[in-house]
Amino acid sequence: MSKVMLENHPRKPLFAALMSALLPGFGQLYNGEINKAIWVYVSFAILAIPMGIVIALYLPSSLMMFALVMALVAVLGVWLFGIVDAWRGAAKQSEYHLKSWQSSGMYVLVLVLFGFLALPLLTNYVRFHQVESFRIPSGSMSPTIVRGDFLFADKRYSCAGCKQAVQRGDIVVFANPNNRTLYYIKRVIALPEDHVQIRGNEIFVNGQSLLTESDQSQLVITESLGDKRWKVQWDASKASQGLEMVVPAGEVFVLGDNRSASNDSRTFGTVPLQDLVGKARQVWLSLAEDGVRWGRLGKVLN
Amino acid sequence: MQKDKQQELDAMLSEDCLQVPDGFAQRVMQEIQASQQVDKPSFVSQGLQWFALAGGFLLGAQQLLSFVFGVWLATTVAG
Repeated sequence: MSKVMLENHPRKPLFAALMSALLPGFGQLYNGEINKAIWVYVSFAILAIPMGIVIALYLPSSLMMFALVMALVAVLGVWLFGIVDAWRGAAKQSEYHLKSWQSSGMYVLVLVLFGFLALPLLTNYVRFHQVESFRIPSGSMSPTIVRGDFLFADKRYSCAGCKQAVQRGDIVVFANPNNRTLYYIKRVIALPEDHVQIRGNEIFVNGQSLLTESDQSQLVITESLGDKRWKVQWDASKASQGLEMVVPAGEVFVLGDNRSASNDSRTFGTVPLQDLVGKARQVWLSLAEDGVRWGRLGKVLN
Repeated sequence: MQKDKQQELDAMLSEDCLQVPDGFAQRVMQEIQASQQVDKPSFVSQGLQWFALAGGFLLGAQQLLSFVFGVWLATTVAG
């Protein structure tokens, strides 16, 4: 046993607390509590956020925001617990002899592996493969999604091994076919090899009209496909261009719900299936110029 | 057998005690006190520790906050 390990190295509570604030479980490691350090870190990194998100994605869309808020509360709770516990643990150890594994190199290795490597990997995994939040700056999907909305999109969608295939009526986030650095959000109207016709403000898919109801001005229209229903709006001052086409294999036809003010498949053409990145599920925040649109919080989109 | 052991013990007790070297007790107490003393790191070493923690804290805090609030950080949709 080395001389260093025999000497007294009392634990500093502030040091321990800061280490835990930097990386949950790190302060416990400083206090020599390996088992507790592992549990705090695992609870923070895996049980709180990723597991909370998995649960949120399997719940009905209306409960998704609530589940994600609970996951956020859980992770903040674990973080705070780690800091307080590290402080208390250090305060009890005014006499402490270093363990054989407690060295500066070990601390650096743990911080690099679990702080700078594992956490970013987990963050990216969640954002690219599970849930991502999007901010909507345009009104092309009005009245369904308005400018200032923030929504969650389910990323387990339209991918190899995913359980969710693209369906007509889905609101999707996709990469613009002409500029793949830009994300767009529109509604899928037609699937591969569907026959699409646009006559005035009426859409036909495989010969079936989507028009279900319209107001007297015929500018706000209810459309439906299967069990999905949504409202779209037209601008009488802008003439609607007619269109007739068969959607190519492997691609989808998308339209914005604000039909007269939307840059969609009528302009940039159909969208390859592999460019669909997620299905919009729920609005979690909506900011107007004069404040929050409280009535839109939690609005289910699909 | 028991009588033999008794005789052995009697013989040991009649012998003189071991001679403890001079200053032995003093030296033992000094070692005990020295091992209990707090090892105060140098000012430079302490400063480097706090500097490393502060620097790592700033870098690590960014990763940590990105993890905690990752789901809520919104990507902007163009259209």
